[in-house]
Amino acid sequence: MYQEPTNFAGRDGFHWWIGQVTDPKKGEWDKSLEKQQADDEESVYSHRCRVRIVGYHGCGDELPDNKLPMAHILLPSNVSTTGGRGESTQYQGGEVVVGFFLDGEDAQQPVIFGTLFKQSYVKDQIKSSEFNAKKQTCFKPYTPPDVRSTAGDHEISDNNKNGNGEKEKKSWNGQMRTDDLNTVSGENANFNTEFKMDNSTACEDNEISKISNELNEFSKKMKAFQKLKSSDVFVNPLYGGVVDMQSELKLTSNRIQNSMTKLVRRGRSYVIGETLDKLSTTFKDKVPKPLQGVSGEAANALSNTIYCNFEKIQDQLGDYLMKSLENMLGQLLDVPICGVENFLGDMFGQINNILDTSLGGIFNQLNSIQGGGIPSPSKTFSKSIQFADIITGILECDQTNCPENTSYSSKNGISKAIPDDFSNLIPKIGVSSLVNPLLDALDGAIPQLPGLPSLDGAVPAIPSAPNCSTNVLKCGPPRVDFLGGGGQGASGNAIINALGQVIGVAITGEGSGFIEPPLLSFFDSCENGYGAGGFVRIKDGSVTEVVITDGGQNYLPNTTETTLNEDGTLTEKEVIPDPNANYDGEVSYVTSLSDVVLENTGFGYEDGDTVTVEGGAEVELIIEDGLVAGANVINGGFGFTSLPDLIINSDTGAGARLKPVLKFTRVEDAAELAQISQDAVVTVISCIEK
Amino acid sequence: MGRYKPKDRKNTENRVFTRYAFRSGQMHSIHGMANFQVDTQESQFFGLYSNTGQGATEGGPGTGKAVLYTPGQSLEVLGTGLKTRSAGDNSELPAKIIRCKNGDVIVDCYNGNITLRGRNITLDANGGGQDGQIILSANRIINAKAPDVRLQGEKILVDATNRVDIISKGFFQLKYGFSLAAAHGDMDFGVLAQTLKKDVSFTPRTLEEG
Repeated sequence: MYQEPTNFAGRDGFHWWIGQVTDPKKGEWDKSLEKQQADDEESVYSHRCRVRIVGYHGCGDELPDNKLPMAHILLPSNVSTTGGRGESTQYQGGEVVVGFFLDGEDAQQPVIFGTLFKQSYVKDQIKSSEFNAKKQTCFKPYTPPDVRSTAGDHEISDNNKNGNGEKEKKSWNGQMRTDDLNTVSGENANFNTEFKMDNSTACEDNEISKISNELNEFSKKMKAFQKLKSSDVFVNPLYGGVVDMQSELKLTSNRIQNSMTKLVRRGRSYVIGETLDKLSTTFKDKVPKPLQGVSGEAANALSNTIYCNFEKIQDQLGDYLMKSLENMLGQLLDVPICGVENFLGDMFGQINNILDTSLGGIFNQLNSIQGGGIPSPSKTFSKSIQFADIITGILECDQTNCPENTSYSSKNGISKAIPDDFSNLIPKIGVSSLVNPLLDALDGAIPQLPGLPSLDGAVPAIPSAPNCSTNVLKCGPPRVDFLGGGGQGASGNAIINALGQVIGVAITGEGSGFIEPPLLSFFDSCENGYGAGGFVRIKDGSVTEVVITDGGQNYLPNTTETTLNEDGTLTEKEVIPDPNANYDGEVSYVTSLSDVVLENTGFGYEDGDTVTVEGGAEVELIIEDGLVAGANVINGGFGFTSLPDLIINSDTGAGARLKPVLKFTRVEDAAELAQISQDAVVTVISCIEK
Repeated sequence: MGRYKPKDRKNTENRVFTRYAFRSGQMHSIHGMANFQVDTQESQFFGLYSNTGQGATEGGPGTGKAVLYTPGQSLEVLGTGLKTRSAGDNSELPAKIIRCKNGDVIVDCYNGNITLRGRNITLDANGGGQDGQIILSANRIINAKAPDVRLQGEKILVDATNRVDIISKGFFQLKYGFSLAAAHGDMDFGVLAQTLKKDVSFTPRTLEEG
């Protein structure tokens, strides 16, 4: 029986529809999402937008977006709209939505019920020019140009390979995805929160390590930054940020100057101390008592002159360092220790020049008084670099308790620092009277003392750059550091699987004397990998095994070598380890499950609950009062190429977590080798050092 | 799933809003898998990350990190509602507590200065055994200035390679039980010190030796 429509919601049946939200500006509803009042103070409804509905609205010019009916946006039941409560909506135009009509067949009061997700592979089909030319869109996927142009760093970015598949080009794809894509803000955050710093200790300087870290950080930035062709602007293509290069140079030079200041003042202290030490003996023996007061005044004036001239050198170091760093732009791929030594050698060579030029005359006169034995200031200064500040006059039982020199990386945790060893540096400190840019910088800064040579004729020169293969970067698996614990001699090889995860450590040296487990650290000199960590187990003072709690990612299973070509391009190749070169060569291991570590007991477990080990090993649970109290490995299996997941099968329990510990047996030591296929063997390269 | 699947085998989560986004389960951060991360259109972010095991010990609760990044200032204003104490009232009333059950506190301003300012400042190195050290180290000057400067200790060492100045416009008192003094050129001083050290040093016997 026919029934007249009532046009009341629900009484005439539900009239479902599917449609597309219009562009806010074209539909003139852009004030309606969040504002109660339009700019002209006319009241408008919020939480509404216009929708072009399939089957009801056509695509012709006679029905522009602003003539479509306004649709209510239905809010979920956990949102209140009284007492000032509520929730904003975030339609931007282009969304495909599902809804119903409040007024049934009249179809003038649409309500949006929900949104259909735009799949990542659905690309926009309306170009900006087409979008701008019309007053309506027509059921095609699109992103309003306004939305695209104001996209934030928190939205998804995409990396597209170019035609050759060589370089990654970043783009904004406007898709919400849940897989591997990173965001600009994520990359920015990684870039900005990745840092390295050395610990502070009153006992031992670690200036070489500090300078090395600074130069490495500088090199890393320079590798990342890209200069625009059309201007002098540098950008960080990782996240598109514009880089203030002068600020970056200043920052790095400031930080290197901190270390240089410490070293130069240490040298000054030594030079003055050595000189006064010799003079005091001479004055005591040779100068009559009544004249010793006058001699002391003279010595005081002398030490003040030396002191102040060093200080003036210090003041100018910043500019010199800036020039040095500028000179390195585009040349550094890696900063090996020899590069740091060359850098410092060059720097101290320049300082030596200044010292001999400005103070050589004084020292010559002193030698006349002394009757010989006082070396040139540059010679004493070079010698001084090797000696750290040592507090004298304390008892052996009273020594400062010194921590081990370490570096901390926000990415990789703690690692052993490069020890300050100046023995290789001394031969590199040259004295060249012709190449001395510092003289140029200091011209006029140091007061000319009577009888001393003028600084006016100094030849300005460009600071030299490190010249020991800084254009080659060798990367390999991370180094394993065992830190602290009271013992020594422990060593191991990190086992990296094909996914770039650390799956364990093959102990190559158990060490001795450990009174507590040392800290475990993975040091990736190229900083490719990150996130791996775990802890060490010891027995009778020796390291027995390493438990990996997180395998991290991006570690290199093999060794690669990247070369910076003259044209600025990079060439990467895999390096075959040479046992006679810097590598110990390859070692092949058979992996098996050696132990299971309890992380969390969970609750509600029952006897009879079991564990499934991905990869075939057998593990038996120990249950106590519903808690997983531990697990025993019944059969360790073999052939694991990743840390296996341990899944507890229980109908009642939840929350228990077990960690696998893998054991690595050298292939030649594995008795069951005959039964093992090649797939079960993991090959690693040991003792990788740059 | 790609190679960056969450290490806990659960699904990833994303809620992207107009100016910020919530995420969970992503493996992109150098700090580990994100348990919770909020990031903004200007790349500020705050994240709580899953245990990486860095610096871990057996049986520990994990080593999950909390990381805050903002290109500008991070500002906290605290204690507005706490009692305003009178001058000289040093009753303890914490407005902020950072307790490290293990691990160190490092404040690293590598291109900035650090100011600690308060009505009173206490540095208390209360470690036992070989700990209990306060180390002040500066590349240029350590300047202690107050109307009343006191150094108290069992042993006090002033060691300078260049010069030591002690200046008083009023009184100068020097009291001691024994005097060991010599000009630097006087080598007899060293002989006396060595003799004393040899005569008074001893090595305690171990328990096994009785």
